[in-house]
Amino acid sequence: MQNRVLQRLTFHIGTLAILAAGLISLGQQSGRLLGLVFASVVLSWIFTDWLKWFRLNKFVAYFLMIVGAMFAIMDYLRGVDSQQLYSVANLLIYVQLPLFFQTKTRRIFEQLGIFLLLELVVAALVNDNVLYGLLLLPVMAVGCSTMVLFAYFISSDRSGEAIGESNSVFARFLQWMGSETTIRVNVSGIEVRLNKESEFRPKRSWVAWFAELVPTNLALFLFALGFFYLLPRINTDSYEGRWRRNVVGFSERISLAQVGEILQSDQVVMRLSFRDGTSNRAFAPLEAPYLRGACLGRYEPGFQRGDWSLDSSYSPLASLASSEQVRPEYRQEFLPVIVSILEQVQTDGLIMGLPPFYASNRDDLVEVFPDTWALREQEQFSSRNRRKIEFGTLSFTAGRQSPFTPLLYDVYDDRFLRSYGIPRDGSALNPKLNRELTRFNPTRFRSLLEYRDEVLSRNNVRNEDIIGQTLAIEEDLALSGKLTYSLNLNAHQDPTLDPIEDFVRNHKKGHCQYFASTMALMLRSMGIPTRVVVGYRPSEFNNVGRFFLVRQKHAHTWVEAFFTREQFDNSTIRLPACFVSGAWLRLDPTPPGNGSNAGGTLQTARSQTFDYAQELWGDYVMDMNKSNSDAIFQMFGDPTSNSFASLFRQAEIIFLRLQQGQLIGGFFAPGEWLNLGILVAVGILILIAVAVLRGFRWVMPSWIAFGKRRAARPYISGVVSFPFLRQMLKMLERVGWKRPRHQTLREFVSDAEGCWQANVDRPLDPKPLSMLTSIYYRLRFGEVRDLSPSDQSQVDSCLESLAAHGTSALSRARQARNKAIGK
Amino acid sequence: MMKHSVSPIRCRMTREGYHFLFILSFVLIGAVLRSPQLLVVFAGVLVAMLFLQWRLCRRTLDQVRLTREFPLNAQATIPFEIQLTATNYKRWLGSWLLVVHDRIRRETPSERGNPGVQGINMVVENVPPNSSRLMKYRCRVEQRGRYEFGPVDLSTRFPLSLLRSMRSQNEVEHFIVHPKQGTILPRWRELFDRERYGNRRHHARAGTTEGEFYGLRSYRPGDSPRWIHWRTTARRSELVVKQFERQENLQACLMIDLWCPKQGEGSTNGSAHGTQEDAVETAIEFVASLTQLLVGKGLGSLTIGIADRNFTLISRIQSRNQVLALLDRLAIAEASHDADWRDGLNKMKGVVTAIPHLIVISTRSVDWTVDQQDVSRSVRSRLATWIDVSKKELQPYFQRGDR
Repeated sequence: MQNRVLQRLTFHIGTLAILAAGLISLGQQSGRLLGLVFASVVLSWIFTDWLKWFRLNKFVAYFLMIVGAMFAIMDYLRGVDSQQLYSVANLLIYVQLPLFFQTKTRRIFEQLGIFLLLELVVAALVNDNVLYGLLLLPVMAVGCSTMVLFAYFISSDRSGEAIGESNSVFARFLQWMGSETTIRVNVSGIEVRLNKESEFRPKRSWVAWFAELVPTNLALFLFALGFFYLLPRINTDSYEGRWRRNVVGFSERISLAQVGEILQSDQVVMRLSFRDGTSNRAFAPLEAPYLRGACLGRYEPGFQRGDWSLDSSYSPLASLASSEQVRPEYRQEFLPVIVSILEQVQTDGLIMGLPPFYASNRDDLVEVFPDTWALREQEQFSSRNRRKIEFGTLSFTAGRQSPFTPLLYDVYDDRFLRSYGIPRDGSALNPKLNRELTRFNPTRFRSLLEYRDEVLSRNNVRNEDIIGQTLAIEEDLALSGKLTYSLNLNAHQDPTLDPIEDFVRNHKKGHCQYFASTMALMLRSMGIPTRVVVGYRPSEFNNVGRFFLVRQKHAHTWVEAFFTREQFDNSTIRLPACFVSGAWLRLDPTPPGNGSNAGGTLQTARSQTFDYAQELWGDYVMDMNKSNSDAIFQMFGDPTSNSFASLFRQAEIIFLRLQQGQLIGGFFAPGEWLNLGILVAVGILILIAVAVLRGFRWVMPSWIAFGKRRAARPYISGVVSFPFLRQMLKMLERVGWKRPRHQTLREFVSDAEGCWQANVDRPLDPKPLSMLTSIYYRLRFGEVRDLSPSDQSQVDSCLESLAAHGTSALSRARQARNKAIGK
Repeated sequence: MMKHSVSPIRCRMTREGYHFLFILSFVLIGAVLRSPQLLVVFAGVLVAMLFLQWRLCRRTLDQVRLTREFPLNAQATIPFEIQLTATNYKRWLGSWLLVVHDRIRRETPSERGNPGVQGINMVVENVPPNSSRLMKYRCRVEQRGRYEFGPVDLSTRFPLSLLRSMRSQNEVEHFIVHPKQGTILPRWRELFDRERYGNRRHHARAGTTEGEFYGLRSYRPGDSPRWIHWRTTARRSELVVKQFERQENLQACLMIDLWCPKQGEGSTNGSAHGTQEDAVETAIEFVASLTQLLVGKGLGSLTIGIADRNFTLISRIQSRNQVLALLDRLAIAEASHDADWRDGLNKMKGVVTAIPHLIVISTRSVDWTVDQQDVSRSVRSRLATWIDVSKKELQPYFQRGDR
């Protein structure tokens, strides 16, 4: 039996070791330790535990453990494992391995248990993966099973053990303290041995074993869940997760090389999701959205650079307008969509957006630049690593993002504009801004101008259709194939030329910013106010979680050109009526394909479910700092207060509603008689009373019998249902004759009468006990159904005789016998 | 009367529990101070384990009772079986992995020191709710006497072995182990030759104990199944046995004088002391064996006086119950330096009047001609034999059982 438990325990602890190593390997993203532990466990199962070919001597094992520890330390010193925790994991595993090759005893299992527990702690520190959470469940199940088996192993070790123990006061004290080791003495003359049929043999099958573990693990899981979410947090740091060590976002000065680097990075920048502002359901656009970041108007040429920078003359608006402050005609034209962004805080505080904006229900502290629609966070939240921002946008119609970006005047009502001192003058675009956005030096871009002229002449667009000419340039750049999209920018660059001129004239390969810059400069050369917009165009849509996962490689650059209402009216493009003053037209000259983000097709990620699980894991587990912990309780109460206070407040509201009959109405309505103060006072009094009672019962157990009545009730196999017999037994019990469980009634009566005959001179004739017993047996086993009159009179006379002198005689007889045997 | 006294359930950390708690404290401190969330999750699991262990191991022992059952009688050197029943009175929850620790101790006079307690562990895998499980162990004791069983301890490490809950059932029960039986040698009849009278006719007998048919009576424990009168049993639906007129061939009267020298007096030699103890045991075993022989085979009745610290007289032992009472008394008989054989003989005056001869089995030799003056005349006239066991005078009649 012991062998069977031992085998199971060995198997379990090996499995647990493999799982623990797996968890560490998951964090390290290397299977080295897992392979090592797996091999060791399997080899030890086969050669040490099963075939018993060899086992390590205790001292050899200690030596190997020291060697293992030295290896781990040397690895750390040599810098093989730069992170301290990985070295600790290595140390634990190296030291643990020799234990598998020893004979399994309690000591070995204890040592393995400690090492495994420490490994799990380290695994918790080096992991942030959702797989850890998933693997924790089997680890918990196997861990519990191992611990139960260990309890069996220890207990079975003691089964049948005969111990001669000291009866001294100290020994009793140790025993009271719960010590399992007794002070052993040699007790001669008494031998005890367990019967074979009483030996400990666990009989449960694997199925029954696991069936019992399921509720145990469920209880553990629920408790751990409650513990995790109810534990008050004092730390406000955010979880960085897979977004850690990222440098994301754009600054207000962006060079060509910088965008190239960004496009080659796979790092996650943000999670973007949309929901319908009216129905509050998830909203999925039909094509990849353009997320605006920085809006850059000034171009500064330089060797291998070509910097674009911001030039804004307006001070930002301190808050977003509400949806009611948006002009009604604009609201009618576009679908209100709530944009939710969870992103790492960027270096310059820029927030990606889809203008025009309005405020959602959240009270996010952001400011908006009126000329560029750039969003920026205010100073208050810059202390966090991650932020979640929500705002409304009116940029979608028929499931697609509008190519027009409005001017501020056309979106918000006059009152809102006046509140920020923004005058609504007659000109569509600020003259100063107009000048800045049309600045162009034709001497530096000869090839570019040639290219422009060639496109315009080829397309034969009439001169007054300036938008048509613009679209022709965009189409040519994107689709003609003269310039190709590439992130490989190793071609020789001419330092005497502007990088864009060099791009158009010589190497003809570049990424989106080259194309956008080329187009922007071409349009400026035509006197069209143009700016370059950098942002993201995510195409990785998660259908399960209904969100876009935005990575650095989704960075994109495009062009916005401003056209007046009249210019639109002269073109083939229909500008909605709500754009009174004109609009910025989005132009994307980057060729699609070859890894560019210009194509708007949505791509479905291969491991959507896993990604979604990872996101949930990040949100609800890894990012559970103080603010998120408080946010969980916001569903119960006021979001501005802390979690526990809001919980109490919500309980108070529920109570008030109960009191007012809103929860339980009619006859059972509590009404005014229910008072919170009285209820609390009564509750406290009841608690005190229970505590006092329990304390009193603990101190004076014999004084208060209730609650222990059931525990103290002796086992009675049957109920005496015949009154005369009950009376007889009661009379006998009063004089010390109580029927022991091992005696039948007849044996008991025979014993009592024998004692009477042997010890009392008075003859026992007739024998009342025997007579009553005979009558009882006749009734009990169905010989007669009821007492006949003669039986009844016999019963009465027997009971009388017993009461008159029988009980006293029996009492004397008992005393005499007790005296004889020395009791 | 067995007193029901149950100590409250106590929970103590096991060694593994201390290891676990040590690591848990570090995890908790790390989780609270640094808030690595997975460490908090892990700490939650560990705390849950500890909590589950505490609740389950306490509840496992709650409302579990142990009852002990002894055999009807037991002899020294012959193993007897003790039965322990663990009953779980809980309605829903079973009790798993119960370790039952029972204790046995020989009750000895205080001057002989504290000999320690013999314990035995038993493990029960599971006692389902509202049911019970049986455990048995065999016990073999070398010496006759009164033994104390209990208190019995219940403990469990279920489920995770982090805590051990324990509880004691404090009641103790007493059990008397009878003296071991020896062999009465064939010459034993010579001792009682003079006591046999009349009725020396040879009977054609059907069995060893039957006499002439006398009547019918209800069955009593100890009656031979051969005496059952099946026809009447069937008619009355209860066991009825035949009664016979007993042929009382022998009416013997014995006094057992259990004397030992006062400690520190007389011979201090260890071997001599051992010899004296040996003599006492021989005398007791002889009387026990003789009684079993005479009463068990129905050869006669016996009146026995036991002169030790307190003189006891048991007269006309004929039934099995009387034999058991005598064996109980012999089991706890103790040799004493102030055992007074004269007083014993005088106390037997009333019962020996009808018995021709009295035999004294003693552990000392007495100069009868000198010492008989203090003895009543009626007893004196019937005193037939004085057997000094210490001088091996019992050897022709009795051989002790295996030591």
